[in-house]
Amino acid sequence: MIANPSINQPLSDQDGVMETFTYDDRIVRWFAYATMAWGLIAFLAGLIIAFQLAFWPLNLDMPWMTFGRLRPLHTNAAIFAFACNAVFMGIYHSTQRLLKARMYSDWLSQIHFWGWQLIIVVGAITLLMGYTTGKEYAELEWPIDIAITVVWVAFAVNFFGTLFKRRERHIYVAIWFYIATIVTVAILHIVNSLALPVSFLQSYPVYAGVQDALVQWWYGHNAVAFVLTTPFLGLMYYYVPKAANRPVYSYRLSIIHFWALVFMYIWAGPHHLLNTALPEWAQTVGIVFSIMLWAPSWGGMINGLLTLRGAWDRLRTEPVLKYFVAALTFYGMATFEGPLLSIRAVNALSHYTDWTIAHVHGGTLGWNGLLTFAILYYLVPRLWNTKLYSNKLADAHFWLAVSGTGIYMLSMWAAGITQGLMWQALNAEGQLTYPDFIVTVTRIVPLYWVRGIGGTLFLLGFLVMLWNMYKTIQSGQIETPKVRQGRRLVPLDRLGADHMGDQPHRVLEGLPMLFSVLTVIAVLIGSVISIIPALTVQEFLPADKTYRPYTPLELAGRDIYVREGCYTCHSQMIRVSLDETMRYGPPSKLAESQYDRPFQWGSKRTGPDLARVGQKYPDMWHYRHMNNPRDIVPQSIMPNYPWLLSDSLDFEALGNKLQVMQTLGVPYSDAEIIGASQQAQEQAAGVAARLREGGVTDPDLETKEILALIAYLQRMGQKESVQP
Amino acid sequence: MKQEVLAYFHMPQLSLLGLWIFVIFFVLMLGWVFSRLRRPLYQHLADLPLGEDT
Repeated sequence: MIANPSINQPLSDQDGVMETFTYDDRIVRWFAYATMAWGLIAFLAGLIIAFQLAFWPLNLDMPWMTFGRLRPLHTNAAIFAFACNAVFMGIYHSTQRLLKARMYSDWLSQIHFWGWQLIIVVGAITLLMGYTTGKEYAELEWPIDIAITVVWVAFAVNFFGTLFKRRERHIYVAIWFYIATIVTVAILHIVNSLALPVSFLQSYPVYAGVQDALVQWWYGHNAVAFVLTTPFLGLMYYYVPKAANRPVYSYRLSIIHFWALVFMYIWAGPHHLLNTALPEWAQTVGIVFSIMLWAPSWGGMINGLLTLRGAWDRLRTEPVLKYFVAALTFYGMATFEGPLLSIRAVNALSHYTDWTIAHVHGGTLGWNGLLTFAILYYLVPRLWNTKLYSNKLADAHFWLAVSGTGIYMLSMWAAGITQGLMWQALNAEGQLTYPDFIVTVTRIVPLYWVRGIGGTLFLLGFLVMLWNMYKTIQSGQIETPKVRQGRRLVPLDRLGADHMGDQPHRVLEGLPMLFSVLTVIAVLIGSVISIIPALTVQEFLPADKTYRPYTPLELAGRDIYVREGCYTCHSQMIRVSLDETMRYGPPSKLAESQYDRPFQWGSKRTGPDLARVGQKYPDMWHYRHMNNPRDIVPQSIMPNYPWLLSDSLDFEALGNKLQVMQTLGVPYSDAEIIGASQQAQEQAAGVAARLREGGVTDPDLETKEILALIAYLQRMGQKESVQP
Repeated sequence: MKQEVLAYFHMPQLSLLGLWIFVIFFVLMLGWVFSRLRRPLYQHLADLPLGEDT
């Protein structure tokens, strides 16, 4: 009901009907619990894999404990469990207050919460079981991808429903960041997850090779942008002014920060593929926009820090502010380092090394972690109507977290630069100074121990926080929600021009749907220009018919390679550089991965590149190496994979796999599909015969998974199978 | 290898187009943001988080 019903008489928002309402803080408390619980899992998994690299026996010879399976669990838990729950916690709390409205639907809030936690649990279990798409940060298989989409839509409906029933006409900049997050994550997730199911928990992506690489890193880079950056910036713009009790330093700057970030970030994905077989122009676009990102990122950081002007003295007494300042400082460091690493020459040194790991953890531990801790320290006492149990413990946590992050970053910077320089080093004769890859690994193992110490400190600090939170919650109580009053907004078409103002921007800020559409357009412009050319590259570069698709056995071996997460330590992309050519062979060509679904170019070389490992060693070498790498390379830090020698391969499933590949455009004939099982068994018998010559006595050798993996490894870098 | 791809690729104008879209968009945004008429609104917006008790 409107106070003045006359449509011809201008109204103001003050004429809206006065209503009473409460906020739903229960959902905020649930997300706070989830943030803390999943943070523990994510950090613990990270610590385990950190020590696995320093001390390989920690892989325990068990499939689900190996680095290749735990590393995706760690990254997914950190991003989608810890960080996302923190984001949801902050969004549900701040949105209601900024819009002066309870969430649109309590039911949708619960669907969102429980759906997301279920996704995390199922995702963790399936990753440990080896069900993975093999695409970094998008490893979850297709049924879980669908569940993510459904739950995300529930979240979006709930959020936009709240926007439409809000009692505050204007939309604060934090809400802009939330809108950008919700719409962009939906686009990224759906486009990158397009795949054709092979079975209930396996699928092949609709993209192959370079297309898959570009789409994946468009997604991967923007997962960082729109999961770990924009929502946290929105939270920063709400909670820093709140904690400092003063308005943001420059609202103008926050608007520029938003639009520049949203527009630019989406272009920068190709900087993950510099010096690879990705077209040069696409790399250059990625570099240019990455460097341009410096400006808005630092603008945002400065805006956050200067919001504390006149309040710096309170850093001594209020731990929350200290966390915000440190988080913003790490944000500044990470967003300085990111563009630096995007410069082609720097990237030639840093890429595939631990320098990237240092950069990532500066952002996640320093920026996302500390900002989340700040919000928890701010929110938990308020949500439970009490005071923080101990400021001293909060201080202790702060110093443990900051020093832990610092030690982590310093050790990985040193490791990355050391290893990068060793890979590139040439002696007076123009030969590689360190031709044995393992030498460049053993040199940095001590730094892996140091990294482990940093991670331990960070986790210890987190445990201190959990204890502090437990005691705080224990001393608090949940009160009946406070009843608030606010006026319902008068519809835009009934407002007088004098109230609306005569500027079109007011209309824009009052229309969340239009605003969301503009955000989507900004995101799509960069996406389309980045991705469309790559998707059409086949039109200009016809598939090289001299390369044969994988045989059924090789395809099965490739699936095992993906299942065991080999891509977490090995690349399949020889870059255009002298040292890589000398070490691995000629630079990789696009045609070599034209049938690769998913692409496995990788992003880290804890072990050497494998693009041309085919026919480099005999089958027996691989057999022994997979059983115990130290049989071949005594200093190796690679896990053992004994189950590959004992587990049997499902030959009957291969026909279906080829069928799906044929549907996706791989030139398998119908006869090949029908005879897939038979052909695979014949090829397996050939590999087994060579292994028997080498002394393997297993009576059931012909059925084992290791044969498929060997067949795949021997195929790498070859146009077709050499020894069918 | 890269030259091989570039030789086949005939759409480099796309990135130029994108750059121009960005530059035009950015300049318009600056003019919009720094309009003097928006100052009172910014003050109101900047104070929004401070109005609640939690």
